[in-house]
Amino acid sequence: MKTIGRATRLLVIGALCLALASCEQPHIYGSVGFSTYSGGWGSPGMGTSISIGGRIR
Amino acid sequence: MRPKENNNVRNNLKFLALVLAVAGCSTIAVSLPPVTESPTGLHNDGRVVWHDLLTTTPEASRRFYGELFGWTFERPKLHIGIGGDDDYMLIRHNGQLIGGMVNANVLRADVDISQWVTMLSAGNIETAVAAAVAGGATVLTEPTDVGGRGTLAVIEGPAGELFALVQTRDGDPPETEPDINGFLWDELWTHDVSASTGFYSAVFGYERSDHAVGDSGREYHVLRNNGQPRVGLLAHPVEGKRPVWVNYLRVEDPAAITARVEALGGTVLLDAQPRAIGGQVALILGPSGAGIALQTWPLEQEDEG
Repeated sequence: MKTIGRATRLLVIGALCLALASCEQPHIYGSVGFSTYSGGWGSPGMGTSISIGGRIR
Repeated sequence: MRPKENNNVRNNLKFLALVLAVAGCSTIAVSLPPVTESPTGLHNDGRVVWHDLLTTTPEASRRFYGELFGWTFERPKLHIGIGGDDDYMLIRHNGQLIGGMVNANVLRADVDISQWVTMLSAGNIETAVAAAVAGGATVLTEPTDVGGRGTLAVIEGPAGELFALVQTRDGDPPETEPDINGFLWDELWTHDVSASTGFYSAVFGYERSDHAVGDSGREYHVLRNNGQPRVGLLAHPVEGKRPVWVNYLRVEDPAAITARVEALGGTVLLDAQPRAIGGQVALILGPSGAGIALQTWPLEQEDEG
């Protein structure tokens, strides 16, 4: 009986571990850049409009 | 209690623990603090109320922005489910929350997504997302409850630009004058000003005003609602380059900032230079390549100087 009790306990602990391991943590930005989007920076030409831009009022 | 009953209780407790574990898994959610510690209870559609930095170099970025602008970084309290300890940090300036920093290394992106994300307020996020989709946008993250912050959605606009929407839970921050080294302004660089105007006006009820920029022969466009200027629009300078939201910090002396950028691991994309309508402006990249503009403000004081 003792052996069965231990086995049950191990089984339960194993099931708990499996359940928690399968929890995937969510990310609000998780779908950004997945084969679709990359940032718009990195080109020297990006600087050419900056003297025109910015808050004006 | 008899042995048989004792066993039944034990078994029931084990079963309950298992159910709780599985149920806990299914309810893991991102929980983020509000965008402000002084919520107004109001929602100003189309107003930029938050900025998140996506960075592949969180430690270097902390040092970069901390040293240059005096910002401090902290872990959110009651922070659950966004990843490891430092995967999301809050940014403060002069004691006020001004944005967040996301460790982009934990995201699934297969391209470099380092950038500042502009987050616009939506009083009814479901309606705003529906309008965005009707205008040709792609929803990257459906409206998601993130606890105290409210409900967030991440959108790729019809021109390919990334931005986010938030329906704040307790209301938007008070409208105040921007601090030195704080966020000042946001504008979209787009290849089709008319199309972008149409899209954002449909989502937020903006009206556009056009302004000649000094003697440059170019125009600057301001989108406003409820009598307030909200964001700017500018014809994109680089053909074929993806449209992007550009965020501005108010600084006193852009040249003094750019002089320190490279030593802190950043890049000066455009050194400090005069603006066509007065004042100074510069464009820099942080250590991860996220761009941010620096601008002096207000214009009146600059003109006097």
